[in-house]
Amino acid sequence: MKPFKKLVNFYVFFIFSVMSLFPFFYLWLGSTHNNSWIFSSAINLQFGSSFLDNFVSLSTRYPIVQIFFNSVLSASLVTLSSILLIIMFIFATIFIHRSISRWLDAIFILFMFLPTTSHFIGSIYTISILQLRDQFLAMVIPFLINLRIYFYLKQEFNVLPSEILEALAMDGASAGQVVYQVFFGIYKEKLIFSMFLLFVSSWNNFIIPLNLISQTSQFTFPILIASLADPLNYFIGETFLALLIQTTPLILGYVYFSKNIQIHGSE
Amino acid sequence: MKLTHKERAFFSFILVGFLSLFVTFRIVPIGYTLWRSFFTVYQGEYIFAGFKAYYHVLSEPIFWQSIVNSFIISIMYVVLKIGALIVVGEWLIRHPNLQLWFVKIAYIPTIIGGFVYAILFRYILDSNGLFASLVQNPQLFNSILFHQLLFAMILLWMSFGISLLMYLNRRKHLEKSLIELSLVEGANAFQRFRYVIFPHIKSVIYFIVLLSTIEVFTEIELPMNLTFGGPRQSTITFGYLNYLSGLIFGNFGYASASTVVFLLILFFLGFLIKGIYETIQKTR
Repeated sequence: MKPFKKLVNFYVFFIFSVMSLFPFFYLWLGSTHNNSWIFSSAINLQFGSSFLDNFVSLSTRYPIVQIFFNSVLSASLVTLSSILLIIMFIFATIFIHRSISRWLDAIFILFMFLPTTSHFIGSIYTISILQLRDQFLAMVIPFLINLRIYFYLKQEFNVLPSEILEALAMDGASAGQVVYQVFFGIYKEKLIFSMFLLFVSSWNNFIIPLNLISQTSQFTFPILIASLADPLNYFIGETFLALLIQTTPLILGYVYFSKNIQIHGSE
Repeated sequence: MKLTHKERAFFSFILVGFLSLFVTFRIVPIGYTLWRSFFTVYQGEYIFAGFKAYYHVLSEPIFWQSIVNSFIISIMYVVLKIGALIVVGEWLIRHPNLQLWFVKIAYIPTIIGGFVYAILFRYILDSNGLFASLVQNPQLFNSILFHQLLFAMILLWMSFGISLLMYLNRRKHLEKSLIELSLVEGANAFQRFRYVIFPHIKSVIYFIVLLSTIEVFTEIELPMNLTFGGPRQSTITFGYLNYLSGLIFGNFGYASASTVVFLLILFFLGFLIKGIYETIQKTR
């Protein structure tokens, strides 16, 4: 029975993998074909030869290098600024204003569970009032506050043994050194995981930037994809190519950080 | 731990900065939404209308259809998700050597944005696309049930990885001795699950059910890019209707009022799910 069980396990795993990964394979496939391939009645799962044509056509229509750079820059800025802000804020609430920390946490929990739908119209209004429409900062500043990451890191900091902080204080460490030793030393892996989540969240940011940015030079890749995928357009090969460029950095980042994600992903 | 004056000032500045951002981009938008819910738009101008926008929302059939659609899809989604989690989770517990790769592959869809899937599946599932070539049943593409089930299955595919991680993390902490004891007592697979495994994992199941329900109601990217609310408005979720009315048709008053009504429905749903969970706990 053991070889039979192994065979069954293998086939279950194989079918699950195919179901999970086939859409990405189809994405790569589509980026190498032209528009007519998608709607041809024959099932054709061979790679085509239109990848370069799609790339040239896409580059002619949109400044994709600049758009890619906008996506990378906005996601990186949000990741770095947000994580630093959250770490400093945790430190500030625990060591300086501990009395208000509990009240703040209660309010934050309430807002954390409110769906995005409840405030995205108001967010667009607020961002418009701040004159951030069609500005690069519209994709950075509103997304610096991430309450899930805040609670995740704070929960870890709360269980840190006080002896470590006392030892650091006895060694004459400044506040900056304590933050560095704790968050960039002891919690380095959790920090990496948090930064990965922040980057992914900002990279995939779609609805709010779609309604704030109209200038092509300020586009990020999600907005570009929304323009290409408009049902009135017929740029299917280019849309697949843009989707491929959108997903590839995330998959590569995931492969690199997958061990970290698996350890901390369900916390 | 003692801080210098400069350090205190710096961290106080950070505190004020963080809270300012929170107020500006979380509290003000919700306050604006609440305030706008008492206004209606007439000839491009906002006019105070009291509770007229709420009356308009509650009497609008499309609002209730979006709630019903979201409810139907969330039931399909939750049932599929919990079923898949239990089957796959228990299978992986018996085959720990496969867990790592299985979870790695299942987690990939979680990191990709919903709009990517929506656009990709739009082409795969087009009536002239790959799926149509395989299935050869054109009537399927007009079926409401098919589209709602498709919606639920794509959401399941997107979020299965993280739910599986949560399930396995919780399930791993169940002592093996309890399972062995139940085997000695002669319990069959269903009894083992019902009396030993389920009580241990029900908190995770409850959390997943709650989040999954909210996820369906607030989903915008799938109906926006995949089904466009069709066929026959059967996949218009509340989130998508809210987006259409507020940002596409510019009726902020209606959208704001519908948001407030929805939040009340959400609180009710939350209490309902919590009540079911507590009833299950008491009947154990």
